[in-house]
Amino acid sequence: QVEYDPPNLHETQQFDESIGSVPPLLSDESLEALVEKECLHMPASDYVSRLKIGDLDLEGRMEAIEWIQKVGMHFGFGPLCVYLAVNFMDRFLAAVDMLKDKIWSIQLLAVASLYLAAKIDETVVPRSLDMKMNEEKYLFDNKTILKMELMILTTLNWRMQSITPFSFIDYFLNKLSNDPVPTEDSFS
Amino acid sequence: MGINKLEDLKWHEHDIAIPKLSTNQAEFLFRFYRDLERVRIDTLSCFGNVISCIQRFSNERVAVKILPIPQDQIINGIPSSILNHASILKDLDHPNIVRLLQVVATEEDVYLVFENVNLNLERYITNPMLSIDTLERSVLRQALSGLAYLHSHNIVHADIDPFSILFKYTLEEPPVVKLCGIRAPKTSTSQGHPSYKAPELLMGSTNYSTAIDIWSMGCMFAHIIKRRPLFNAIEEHRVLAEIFCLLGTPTEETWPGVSSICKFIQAFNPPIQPKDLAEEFPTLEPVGLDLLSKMLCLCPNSRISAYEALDHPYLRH
Repeated sequence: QVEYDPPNLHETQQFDESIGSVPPLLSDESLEALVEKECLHMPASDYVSRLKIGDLDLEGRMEAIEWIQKVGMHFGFGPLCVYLAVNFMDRFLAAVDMLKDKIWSIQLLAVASLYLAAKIDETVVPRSLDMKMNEEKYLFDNKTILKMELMILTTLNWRMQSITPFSFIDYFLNKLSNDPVPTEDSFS
Repeated sequence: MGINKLEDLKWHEHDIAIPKLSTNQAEFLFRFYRDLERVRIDTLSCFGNVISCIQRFSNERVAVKILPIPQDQIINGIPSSILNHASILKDLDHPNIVRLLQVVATEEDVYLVFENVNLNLERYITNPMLSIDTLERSVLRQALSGLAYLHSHNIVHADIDPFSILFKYTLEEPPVVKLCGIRAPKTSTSQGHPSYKAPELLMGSTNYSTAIDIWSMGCMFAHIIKRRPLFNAIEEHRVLAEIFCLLGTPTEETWPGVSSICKFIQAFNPPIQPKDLAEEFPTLEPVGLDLLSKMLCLCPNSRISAYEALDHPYLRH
């Protein structure tokens, strides 16, 4: 038996909305589906403790995140894109034992993660080669980046539509404020 | 029949049932799969670009769809359209949606490996060996439940027609309905069969709302009851004429805003009156007629939603 709440659902049925306008408000079913899916898009549960005890390269990760933020800002990527890139990176690190002595590996991972995140979330994607931003450390040839891209996709089982806090913001803002029409401004 | 070895390909150059593959595709597929055969999508000899084959390591039959990466984009890796398409499908998990089991990418192609299904709706209805009489409600309920799941993920199917509603059956159990042909949102331009297209799309609207899927489902419902398509035309304007003949022409009262989508609608003065659905569907009980008329409501804003339809008395018990 499917429970439903018609007034909310009509929000997804608005015919008059033009394409590209405000995405429809989440219905309660959609929210439930999102919460269930969110668990599939998180790094393994022991990931944080492994970072803390030094089993994984905490410092390398922080540095990579800083780089992702910097490049994201340079290309004008949205906050969701940057969040996705870090999410891909974390999930990959949690699943694969990167060789610690190969310092470049986490840098290559950061480049490929950001490249993938841009493809998922941005309309204009820079060439992979342009993402190095004049930093020697993050300079890899195109072939290497593409190989890493495939490796991330396989490792994360092509589950790249991560559920992020951004997926919920509108719903909760709306619940809190009783504002009937959420706007895209609620993101910024 | 399918073929098992790469070398056998050359004997079947003119057989349309044998997939046309590039050298790399053939090498990849024959390494992991055997008994390759193109999937027939309708009762005539029309074939889709999906290959039915048996996975060598599991001996399980699967359906493989090849998405070639355009030559000029190979340098950029996986194109974002394919990336979004595959990753959205990978997240869908519902018994009435064809499951994407695996995605494999090479430098030139992306292979989507789906669970195998047996028949599409068209072939199911026309097969005298498979009685659908007792299954009308079950088929509709399952198809709508898959659709409600898609809509709750903000995905509009946009291409529902007899070839995107598939059946998986075993001898012991009733058939399971599986929706296929789901594409990534944003890229949707409907390519489905015109006779299943919603009137707002036929009138030129480009708004792909969830309501267009309900219309197509209504056409499927009618198709199952009648055992033949509700509308038969192939050209879009003729389908629209058939729709108006059956359901009448919309007016500003029954469909607010219709004259802004379609300029010529005011030319129907006085408007065509709808026919009595009970006469068109003598075998369908009144409660079924009520649901059908709500799914085939001309005005998209007043059309029933998938969740509401599942809770309709015709499907509830």
